Amino acid sequence: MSQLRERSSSTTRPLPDEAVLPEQRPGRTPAILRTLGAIAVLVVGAVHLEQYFAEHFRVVPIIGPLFALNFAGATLIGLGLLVPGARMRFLHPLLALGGIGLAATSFVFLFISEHQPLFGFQDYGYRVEIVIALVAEAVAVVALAAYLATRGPAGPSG
Amino acid sequence: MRPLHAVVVGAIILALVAAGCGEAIPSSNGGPASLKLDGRYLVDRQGHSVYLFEKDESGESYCDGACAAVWPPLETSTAPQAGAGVQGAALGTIKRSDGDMQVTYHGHPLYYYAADASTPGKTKGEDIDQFGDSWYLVGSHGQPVEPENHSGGGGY
Repeated sequence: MSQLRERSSSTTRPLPDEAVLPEQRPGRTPAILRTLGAIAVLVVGAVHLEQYFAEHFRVVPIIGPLFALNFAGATLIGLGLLVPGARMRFLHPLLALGGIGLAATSFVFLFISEHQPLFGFQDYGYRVEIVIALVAEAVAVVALAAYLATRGPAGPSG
Repeated sequence: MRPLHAVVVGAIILALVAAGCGEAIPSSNGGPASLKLDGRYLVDRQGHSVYLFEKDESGESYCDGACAAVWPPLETSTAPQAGAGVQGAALGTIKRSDGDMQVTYHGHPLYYYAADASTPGKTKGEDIDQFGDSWYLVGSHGQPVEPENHSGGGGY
Protein backbone atom coordinates (compact mmCIF):
# COMPACT_ATOMS: atom_id res chain seq x y z
CA MET A 1 0.00 0.00 0.00
CA SER A 2 2.75 2.35 0.94
CA GLN A 3 4.52 1.37 -2.29
CA LEU A 4 1.38 2.22 -4.23
CA ARG A 5 1.08 5.58 -2.51
CA GLU A 6 4.71 6.27 -3.22
CA ARG A 7 4.33 5.38 -6.91
CA SER A 8 1.25 7.52 -7.24
CA SER A 9 2.93 10.57 -5.80
CA SER A 10 5.95 10.04 -8.02
CA THR A 11 3.80 10.17 -11.18
CA THR A 12 2.19 13.49 -10.29
CA ARG A 13 5.33 15.25 -9.14
CA PRO A 14 7.36 16.56 -12.10
CA LEU A 15 10.83 15.25 -12.50
CA PRO A 16 13.61 17.81 -12.22
CA ASP A 17 14.28 17.85 -15.96
CA GLU A 18 10.55 18.23 -16.75
CA ALA A 19 10.01 21.11 -14.40
CA VAL A 20 8.66 24.30 -16.02
CA LEU A 21 10.56 27.34 -14.89
CA PRO A 22 8.56 30.56 -14.48
CA GLU A 23 10.54 32.40 -17.17
CA GLN A 24 9.77 29.68 -19.71
CA ARG A 25 6.00 30.04 -19.36
CA PRO A 26 4.42 32.01 -22.18
CA GLY A 27 2.63 34.36 -19.80
CA ARG A 28 -0.17 36.70 -20.69
CA THR A 29 1.90 39.76 -21.58
CA PRO A 30 2.13 39.10 -25.35
CA ALA A 31 -1.61 38.41 -25.52
CA ILE A 32 -2.42 41.62 -23.66
CA LEU A 33 -0.06 43.66 -25.87
CA ARG A 34 -1.49 42.07 -29.03
CA THR A 35 -5.05 42.84 -27.92
CA LEU A 36 -4.14 46.41 -26.96
CA GLY A 37 -2.40 46.91 -30.30
CA ALA A 38 -5.37 45.44 -32.16
CA ILE A 39 -7.84 47.77 -30.42
CA ALA A 40 -5.60 50.78 -31.12
CA VAL A 41 -5.38 49.83 -34.81
CA LEU A 42 -9.18 49.48 -34.96
CA VAL A 43 -9.54 52.94 -33.38
CA VAL A 44 -7.19 54.36 -36.04
CA GLY A 45 -9.39 52.87 -38.76
CA ALA A 46 -12.59 54.09 -37.10
CA VAL A 47 -11.31 57.68 -36.91
CA HIS A 48 -10.40 57.60 -40.60
CA LEU A 49 -13.84 56.22 -41.48
CA GLU A 50 -15.51 58.97 -39.42
CA GLN A 51 -13.44 61.64 -41.19
CA TYR A 52 -14.16 60.04 -44.57
CA PHE A 53 -17.94 60.21 -44.20
CA ALA A 54 -18.90 62.69 -41.46
CA GLU A 55 -16.24 65.29 -42.28
CA HIS A 56 -16.48 64.90 -46.08
CA PHE A 57 -12.84 63.89 -46.55
CA ARG A 58 -14.07 61.50 -49.24
CA VAL A 59 -14.07 64.43 -51.69
CA VAL A 60 -10.40 65.24 -51.12
CA PRO A 61 -8.23 63.91 -53.96
CA ILE A 62 -5.74 61.18 -52.96
CA ILE A 63 -6.39 61.71 -49.24
CA GLY A 64 -10.01 60.50 -49.46
CA PRO A 65 -9.13 57.12 -51.03
CA LEU A 66 -6.19 56.79 -48.63
CA PHE A 67 -8.59 57.23 -45.69
CA ALA A 68 -10.84 54.48 -47.09
CA LEU A 69 -7.82 52.20 -47.55
CA ASN A 70 -6.68 53.01 -44.03
CA PHE A 71 -10.04 51.92 -42.61
CA ALA A 72 -10.08 48.70 -44.67
CA GLY A 73 -6.50 47.81 -43.75
CA ALA A 74 -6.94 48.68 -40.08
CA THR A 75 -10.11 46.58 -39.84
CA LEU A 76 -8.41 43.61 -41.47
CA ILE A 77 -5.31 43.86 -39.30
CA GLY A 78 -7.15 44.66 -36.07
CA LEU A 79 -9.65 41.83 -36.36
CA GLY A 80 -6.91 39.42 -37.45
CA LEU A 81 -4.87 40.26 -34.38
CA LEU A 82 -7.88 39.60 -32.15
CA VAL A 83 -8.41 36.08 -33.53
CA PRO A 84 -6.95 33.65 -30.99
CA GLY A 85 -5.55 30.20 -31.66
CA ALA A 86 -2.41 28.31 -32.55
CA ARG A 87 -3.18 28.60 -36.26
CA MET A 88 -2.56 32.33 -36.05
CA ARG A 89 0.88 31.81 -34.49
CA PHE A 90 2.68 32.68 -37.70
CA LEU A 91 0.14 35.20 -38.97
CA HIS A 92 0.01 37.37 -35.84
CA PRO A 93 3.59 38.68 -36.20
CA LEU A 94 2.94 39.60 -39.83
CA LEU A 95 -0.28 41.36 -38.87
CA ALA A 96 1.56 43.13 -36.06
CA LEU A 97 4.17 44.37 -38.54
CA GLY A 98 1.37 45.50 -40.84
CA GLY A 99 -0.30 47.29 -37.94
CA ILE A 100 2.94 49.05 -37.03
CA GLY A 101 3.43 50.11 -40.66
CA LEU A 102 -0.12 51.39 -40.98
CA ALA A 103 -0.06 53.27 -37.67
CA ALA A 104 3.43 54.71 -38.22
CA THR A 105 2.58 55.87 -41.75
CA SER A 106 -0.70 57.42 -40.57
CA PHE A 107 1.10 59.17 -37.71
CA VAL A 108 3.82 60.65 -39.91
CA PHE A 109 1.40 61.63 -42.71
CA LEU A 110 -0.95 63.30 -40.24
CA PHE A 111 1.86 65.14 -38.49
CA ILE A 112 3.24 66.42 -41.81
CA SER A 113 -0.19 67.48 -43.12
CA GLU A 114 -0.67 69.62 -40.01
CA HIS A 115 2.39 71.69 -40.96
CA GLN A 116 2.70 71.58 -44.74
CA PRO A 117 0.70 70.32 -47.73
CA LEU A 118 0.74 66.57 -48.26
CA PHE A 119 -0.48 65.61 -51.75
CA GLY A 120 -1.58 69.26 -51.80
CA PHE A 121 -3.74 68.65 -48.73
CA GLN A 122 -3.26 70.48 -45.46
CA ASP A 123 -5.13 69.77 -42.25
CA TYR A 124 -6.04 72.50 -39.80
CA GLY A 125 -5.62 72.25 -36.06
CA TYR A 126 -5.31 69.47 -33.51
CA ARG A 127 -9.04 68.83 -33.08
CA VAL A 128 -10.32 65.95 -30.94
CA GLU A 129 -10.33 63.42 -33.81
CA ILE A 130 -6.74 64.29 -34.69
CA VAL A 131 -5.60 63.83 -31.09
CA ILE A 132 -7.46 60.50 -30.80
CA ALA A 133 -5.86 59.32 -34.05
CA LEU A 134 -2.34 60.36 -33.02
CA VAL A 135 -2.67 58.71 -29.58
CA ALA A 136 -4.13 55.50 -31.06
CA GLU A 137 -1.38 55.36 -33.68
CA ALA A 138 1.32 55.81 -31.05
CA VAL A 139 -0.25 53.17 -28.81
CA ALA A 140 -0.54 50.76 -31.74
CA VAL A 141 3.14 51.14 -32.68
CA VAL A 142 4.38 50.77 -29.10
CA ALA A 143 2.04 47.90 -28.13
CA LEU A 144 2.62 45.87 -31.30
CA ALA A 145 6.38 46.43 -31.21
CA ALA A 146 6.40 45.30 -27.57
CA TYR A 147 4.28 42.30 -28.54
CA LEU A 148 6.83 41.28 -31.18
CA ALA A 149 9.66 41.77 -28.69
CA THR A 150 8.06 39.82 -25.83
CA ARG A 151 6.78 37.11 -28.11
CA GLY A 152 10.27 36.28 -29.31
CA PRO A 153 11.26 35.01 -32.75
CA ALA A 154 9.59 31.58 -32.45
CA GLY A 155 7.56 31.99 -29.33
CA PRO A 156 3.87 31.49 -28.74
CA SER A 157 1.40 33.83 -30.34
CA GLY A 158 0.19 35.05 -27.00
CA MET B 1 18.08 46.20 -40.43
CA ARG B 2 15.36 44.63 -38.30
CA PRO B 3 11.87 44.35 -39.81
CA LEU B 4 10.42 46.84 -37.33
CA HIS B 5 13.04 49.44 -38.17
CA ALA B 6 12.44 48.85 -41.87
CA VAL B 7 8.71 49.50 -41.47
CA VAL B 8 9.20 52.76 -39.57
CA VAL B 9 11.94 54.03 -41.91
CA GLY B 10 9.80 53.06 -44.91
CA ALA B 11 6.85 55.00 -43.54
CA ILE B 12 8.97 58.11 -43.01
CA ILE B 13 10.48 57.91 -46.52
CA LEU B 14 7.00 57.43 -48.02
CA ALA B 15 5.72 60.47 -46.13
CA LEU B 16 8.62 62.64 -47.26
CA VAL B 17 8.10 61.58 -50.88
CA ALA B 18 4.38 62.30 -50.57
CA ALA B 19 5.08 65.71 -49.08
CA GLY B 20 7.05 66.58 -52.16
CA CYS B 21 4.26 65.65 -54.53
CA GLY B 22 2.61 68.36 -56.61
CA GLU B 23 -0.34 70.38 -55.51
CA ALA B 24 -3.48 68.28 -55.88
CA ILE B 25 -5.69 70.89 -54.22
CA PRO B 26 -5.90 74.57 -55.13
CA SER B 27 -4.11 76.92 -52.77
CA SER B 28 -3.08 80.54 -52.71
CA ASN B 29 0.62 79.56 -52.73
CA GLY B 30 1.57 82.26 -50.26
CA GLY B 31 1.64 85.21 -52.66
CA PRO B 32 -0.89 88.01 -53.06
CA ALA B 33 -4.29 86.64 -54.02
CA SER B 34 -5.83 87.85 -57.24
CA LEU B 35 -9.43 87.44 -58.34
CA LYS B 36 -11.19 87.91 -61.63
CA LEU B 37 -14.65 87.25 -63.01
CA ASP B 38 -15.03 84.15 -65.17
CA GLY B 39 -18.48 84.48 -66.66
CA ARG B 40 -20.88 84.29 -63.71
CA TYR B 41 -18.49 83.69 -60.82
CA LEU B 42 -15.12 84.62 -59.37
CA VAL B 43 -11.95 82.62 -59.88
CA ASP B 44 -8.37 83.13 -58.80
CA ARG B 45 -5.45 83.97 -61.05
CA GLN B 46 -5.07 80.34 -62.14
CA GLY B 47 -8.79 79.95 -62.81
CA HIS B 48 -9.69 77.98 -59.67
CA SER B 49 -13.23 78.63 -58.47
CA VAL B 50 -13.76 80.32 -55.11
CA TYR B 51 -16.77 79.93 -52.84
CA LEU B 52 -18.60 81.60 -49.99
CA PHE B 53 -20.04 79.85 -46.94
CA GLU B 54 -23.53 80.90 -45.88
CA LYS B 55 -22.70 80.18 -42.25
CA ASP B 56 -20.09 82.95 -42.17
CA GLU B 57 -21.42 86.15 -40.60
CA SER B 58 -20.11 89.65 -40.21
CA GLY B 59 -16.93 88.90 -42.10
CA GLU B 60 -16.02 86.14 -39.69
CA SER B 61 -15.11 82.63 -40.81
CA TYR B 62 -16.99 79.73 -39.26
CA CYS B 63 -14.97 77.18 -41.19
CA ASP B 64 -12.07 75.72 -39.25
CA GLY B 65 -10.53 72.32 -38.54
CA ALA B 66 -11.87 69.61 -40.85
CA CYS B 67 -13.97 72.20 -42.70
CA ALA B 68 -10.86 74.24 -43.56
CA ALA B 69 -9.13 71.05 -44.71
CA VAL B 70 -11.93 70.30 -47.18
CA TRP B 71 -12.57 73.99 -47.98
CA PRO B 72 -9.09 75.60 -47.90
CA PRO B 73 -9.33 79.34 -47.20
CA LEU B 74 -8.14 81.67 -49.96
CA GLU B 75 -5.19 83.18 -48.14
CA THR B 76 -2.97 86.07 -49.08
CA SER B 77 0.25 87.57 -47.83
CA THR B 78 -0.56 91.12 -48.97
CA ALA B 79 -3.60 93.07 -50.13
CA PRO B 80 -5.58 91.04 -52.67
CA GLN B 81 -5.65 92.27 -56.24
CA ALA B 82 -8.77 92.85 -58.35
CA GLY B 83 -8.80 91.55 -61.89
CA ALA B 84 -11.35 91.98 -64.66
CA GLY B 85 -14.95 92.20 -63.42
CA VAL B 86 -14.01 92.39 -59.74
CA GLN B 87 -14.70 95.45 -57.56
CA GLY B 88 -11.38 96.29 -55.94
CA ALA B 89 -13.00 98.23 -53.10
CA ALA B 90 -15.02 95.15 -52.12
CA LEU B 91 -11.91 93.06 -51.61
CA GLY B 92 -10.59 92.76 -48.08
CA THR B 93 -8.99 90.39 -45.61
CA ILE B 94 -9.73 88.90 -42.22
CA LYS B 95 -7.33 87.32 -39.79
CA ARG B 96 -8.04 83.65 -39.18
CA SER B 97 -7.67 81.91 -35.85
CA ASP B 98 -4.30 80.52 -36.95
CA GLY B 99 -3.09 84.03 -37.79
CA ASP B 100 -3.25 83.69 -41.60
CA MET B 101 -4.97 86.33 -43.72
CA GLN B 102 -8.04 85.20 -45.64
CA VAL B 103 -9.44 87.11 -48.59
CA THR B 104 -12.99 88.48 -48.35
CA TYR B 105 -15.25 89.85 -51.06
CA HIS B 106 -18.18 92.04 -50.04
CA GLY B 107 -17.49 90.78 -46.51
CA HIS B 108 -17.66 87.08 -47.45
CA PRO B 109 -14.56 85.04 -46.58
CA LEU B 110 -13.56 83.08 -49.68
CA TYR B 111 -12.58 79.41 -49.98
CA TYR B 112 -11.43 76.83 -52.46
CA TYR B 113 -12.99 73.37 -52.58
CA ALA B 114 -10.65 70.39 -52.29
CA ALA B 115 -12.72 68.29 -54.69
CA ASP B 116 -12.04 70.78 -57.48
CA ALA B 117 -8.44 69.54 -57.28
CA SER B 118 -5.84 71.55 -59.13
CA THR B 119 -7.79 71.64 -62.38
CA PRO B 120 -9.01 75.17 -63.16
CA GLY B 121 -12.65 75.59 -64.12
CA LYS B 122 -14.16 72.92 -61.88
CA THR B 123 -17.15 73.92 -59.73
CA LYS B 124 -17.93 70.77 -57.75
CA GLY B 125 -18.63 72.82 -54.63
CA GLU B 126 -21.48 74.73 -56.26
CA ASP B 127 -24.64 74.82 -54.13
CA ILE B 128 -23.90 71.96 -51.73
CA ASP B 129 -24.48 71.61 -48.01
CA GLN B 130 -21.45 70.75 -45.89
CA PHE B 131 -20.33 71.61 -42.36
CA GLY B 132 -23.67 73.04 -41.36
CA ASP B 133 -24.66 75.29 -44.24
CA SER B 134 -24.59 75.93 -47.98
CA TRP B 135 -21.66 76.77 -50.19
CA TYR B 136 -21.95 78.87 -53.33
CA LEU B 137 -19.86 80.29 -56.09
CA VAL B 138 -19.44 84.03 -55.75
CA GLY B 139 -20.94 86.53 -58.19
CA SER B 140 -19.46 89.85 -59.28
CA HIS B 141 -21.39 91.70 -56.53
CA GLY B 142 -20.55 89.15 -53.83
CA GLN B 143 -23.88 87.40 -54.15
CA PRO B 144 -24.22 83.59 -54.04
CA VAL B 145 -24.45 82.21 -57.55
CA GLU B 146 -27.28 79.74 -58.00
CA PRO B 147 -26.74 76.85 -60.41
CA GLU B 148 -27.97 77.59 -63.93
CA ASN B 149 -30.52 74.79 -63.81
CA HIS B 150 -31.82 75.90 -60.38
CA SER B 151 -35.64 75.60 -60.10
CA GLY B 152 -35.89 79.24 -59.02
CA GLY B 153 -34.65 80.30 -62.46
CA GLY B 154 -33.01 83.64 -63.05
CA GLY B 155 -29.89 83.48 -60.97
CA TYR B 156 -26.82 85.23 -62.13
